[in-house]
Amino acid sequence: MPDYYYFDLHSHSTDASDDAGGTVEGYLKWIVARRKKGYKIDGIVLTEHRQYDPTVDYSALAEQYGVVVLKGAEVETDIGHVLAYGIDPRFTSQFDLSNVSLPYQDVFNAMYDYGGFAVGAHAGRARIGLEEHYRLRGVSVPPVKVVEQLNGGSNDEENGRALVFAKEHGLGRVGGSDAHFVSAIGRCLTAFRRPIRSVEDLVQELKSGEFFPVTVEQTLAGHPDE
Amino acid sequence: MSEAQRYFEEVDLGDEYAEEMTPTPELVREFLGLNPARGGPGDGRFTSDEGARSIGMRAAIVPGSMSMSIISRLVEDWMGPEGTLHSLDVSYRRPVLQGDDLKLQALVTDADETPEGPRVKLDVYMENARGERPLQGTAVVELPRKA
Repeated sequence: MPDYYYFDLHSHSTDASDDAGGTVEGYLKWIVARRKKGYKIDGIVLTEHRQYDPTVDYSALAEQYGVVVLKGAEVETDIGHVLAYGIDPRFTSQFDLSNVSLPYQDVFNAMYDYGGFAVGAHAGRARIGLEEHYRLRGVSVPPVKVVEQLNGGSNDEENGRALVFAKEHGLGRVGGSDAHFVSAIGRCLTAFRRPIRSVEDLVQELKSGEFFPVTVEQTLAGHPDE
Repeated sequence: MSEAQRYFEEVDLGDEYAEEMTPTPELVREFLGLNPARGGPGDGRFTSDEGARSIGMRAAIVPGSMSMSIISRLVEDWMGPEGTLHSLDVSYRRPVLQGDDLKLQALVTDADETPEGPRVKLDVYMENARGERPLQGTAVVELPRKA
């Protein structure tokens, strides 16, 4: 049986999200404490709301606590929120990330074109998830390839709706805690087949399609089934 | 209310404390100081399902100030009578519905000796049976040291 590598692909911190109460160091301390109880969390991605600062560097903290810390962004589009990984300067030049209604097809295509990857966040959530926009407005699912099916801020019904939607449309599925507070980090994760040490690794793995969402409790078993 | 005293030396990162409660319509009316025979304030969001639905809510909701009071009591129960609550910041992420069975949770996320004294940081939240956490926040408390 192969090992899995568990990443929380969706989190917010006090550094840049005004509705967050968790600090990055607080998240890392919490992950270290969770590991002592047998849970497996290899890394996190900070996806701050409506912004991306390429100059922020968490490498010292990451090394201190032994947790991979990557950066992305959660941007807002006309089909809900979108998680962006591997953000190129051309992307931030093309789009005003503070705009809460960016054209989603342009956002996804630009992320792909510029060497990154985009994921439809909390796909089962009303107003801010893709499923409702598809069901009520008939928006096109392509160019979306992957959705966040398991979201720590969504309820069971919303995550279930996202699961049905993803399966119906043949979409890849990831998990993320959507943590705004320390104890929520890692609550939902994505299991990858290969180790991830950089955002380039993450983008490559997302493009591979070889991943699936898990709860942190599933990591206790070591080899969760998809 | 708990009378048990918690001490700084006893606290570890990751410690959990939980209580359960159900904010019934009767408790909400008591909190608001209303006569149950009256219709309640404004649009009725706190006193009837119909009133709440008229403004797009699923059912009668719990006032935000009451939710914060419930969480404040949770922290006070956790720390004991000699503890001091220095700050409580909460974020209302979804409505709290009357009659929901709520799990109230406090988790230790940091414990430090500071120039002002021993401080413990807690994450606090409510969780309902639908898996939602309608209220989340952080509290900073001061605990006494053992003599």
